[in-house]
Amino acid sequence: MACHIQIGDDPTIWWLAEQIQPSQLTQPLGVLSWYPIRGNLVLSPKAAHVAIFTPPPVLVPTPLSGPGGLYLPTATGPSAGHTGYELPGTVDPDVLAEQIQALMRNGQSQTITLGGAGGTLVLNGSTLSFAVTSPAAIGGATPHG
Amino acid sequence: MPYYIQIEGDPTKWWIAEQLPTNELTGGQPLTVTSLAPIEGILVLSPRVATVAVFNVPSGTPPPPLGIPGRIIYVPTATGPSAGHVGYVLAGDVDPMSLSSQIAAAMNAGHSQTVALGGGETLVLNGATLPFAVLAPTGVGGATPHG
Repeated sequence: MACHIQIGDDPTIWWLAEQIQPSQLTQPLGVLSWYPIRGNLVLSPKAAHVAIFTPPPVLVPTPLSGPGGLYLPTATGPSAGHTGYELPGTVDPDVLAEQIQALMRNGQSQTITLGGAGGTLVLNGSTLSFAVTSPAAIGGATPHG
Repeated sequence: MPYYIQIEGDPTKWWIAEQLPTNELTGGQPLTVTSLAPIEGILVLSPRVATVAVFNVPSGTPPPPLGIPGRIIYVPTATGPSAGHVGYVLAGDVDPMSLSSQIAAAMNAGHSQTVALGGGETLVLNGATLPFAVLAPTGVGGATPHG
């Protein structure tokens, strides 16, 4: 059964593929997100607050399309054309999600090379509340779980 | 080389004078760097910051800094600073440079810092959770870009 969650100060309501329980929030959690970004949502137990909702019986809207990347918390949430940082094509979003989960578990930091115009991203696993990794929209991830 | 950084959920592109050591951004000491734009001042970055993106812009130049109404402190917002909205005006006797050191110390210790604002108001900063702050100006005539 799916559920909706809202994390910290980010206004996004995330449509998840599976129900999560409050008791699961004691360790980093990886779940499949369907909307607004289809990808892997990694949730830290250090998130200040997480609201879990029962979704209405409606179809999942079409997720935002993007070049494949990494969404991190913002005050406005993702929107068309603003789905996070672009990753190089060589980065596997599933593997990156597992790495972020490990960072959150051990409280370490990781530096990631960005795609697109380039750049470097530093993630602090001890304070990052959540992240969503996603594949490129064309031929993107197939919901499962 | 010109470059800018983006810090957590604040959308601002902070143009920085010094190259930031990305391996020292988290877990160590607070970093204090010179900001060229959109506010020309001093940026204090917490080692507890969750995310920092660093972009090199070989052919880019920083935009002109925003005008400031006096001594100010900018703390993260959802929209970033803009003309006429560059943060809180500090009380007349608050020195931005000294305050930046106090904020760095508060971040280091995870303590709170009370800041006197103009008009007799007060700003309380939580050094344990504040990701960054920008103080301006840094001296008479403001900061001098270098790097």
